[in-house]
Amino acid sequence: MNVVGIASCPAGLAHTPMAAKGLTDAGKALGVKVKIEQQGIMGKVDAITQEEADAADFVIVTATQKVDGMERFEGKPVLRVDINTVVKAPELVLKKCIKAYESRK
Amino acid sequence: MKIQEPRNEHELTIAAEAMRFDAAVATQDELFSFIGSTAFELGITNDARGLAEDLAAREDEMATGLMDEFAIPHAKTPRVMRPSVIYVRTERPVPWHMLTGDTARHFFALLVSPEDGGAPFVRMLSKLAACLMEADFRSRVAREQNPNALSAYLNQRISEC
Repeated sequence: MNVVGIASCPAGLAHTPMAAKGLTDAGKALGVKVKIEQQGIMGKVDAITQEEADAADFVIVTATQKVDGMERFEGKPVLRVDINTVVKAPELVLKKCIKAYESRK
Repeated sequence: MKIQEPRNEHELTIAAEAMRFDAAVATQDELFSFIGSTAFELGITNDARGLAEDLAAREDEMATGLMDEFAIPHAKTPRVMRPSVIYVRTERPVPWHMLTGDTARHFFALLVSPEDGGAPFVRMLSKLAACLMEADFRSRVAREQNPNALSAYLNQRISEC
């Protein structure tokens, strides 16, 4: 399974990298490929290419800000999750997202 | 803690002498004032009160409490003259909006200006935030009583996270 996502918070300095790390580590724990693009003070970190977007099963958006470049994911299921919830319990969030996605089939 | 601009991209120097242990603050406002005045002492800002207000404003936008009594208040403001981290450990728990729990004692205050986006130092700040996701990092920081040892540990872990 391939998951991509975008994390973006007010300063883009703390919650953004924490959410990204949380989800990526959760992916490792669950055996799921996860790549999270950070949109914050440093600009785009770990930017998701169109190729990666095309290969993704679904997209996680965890942001309090308006997110850039959603056109890349046109046609993909998008799940929005609260960034504090991601920081607090990233593995649980990822599990729920996977479950929500799989229950669509 | 005072952080100087790294001499190269991979180095982050955290000065032990700018950590503040046993800060006698009881409320969030007092904590922000304390950070403001500490930043002033360290030459990070010329406006201690303004910086305290910036920290409070950012806190209002979204709370910065994490878990295990750790919080990561921060401000992106022109009042910050060089990107910095100040570590404050308070004598007593301070009521704080947390992800888990309702008080904080360990504060990593991250201070940057809007123009700092490209600075290698800012990448290090993000790594510090990422380290805080790990329980063993938090417990190790909380247990450390010696500023020099804490400084060494932070430098080492931040380059790894």
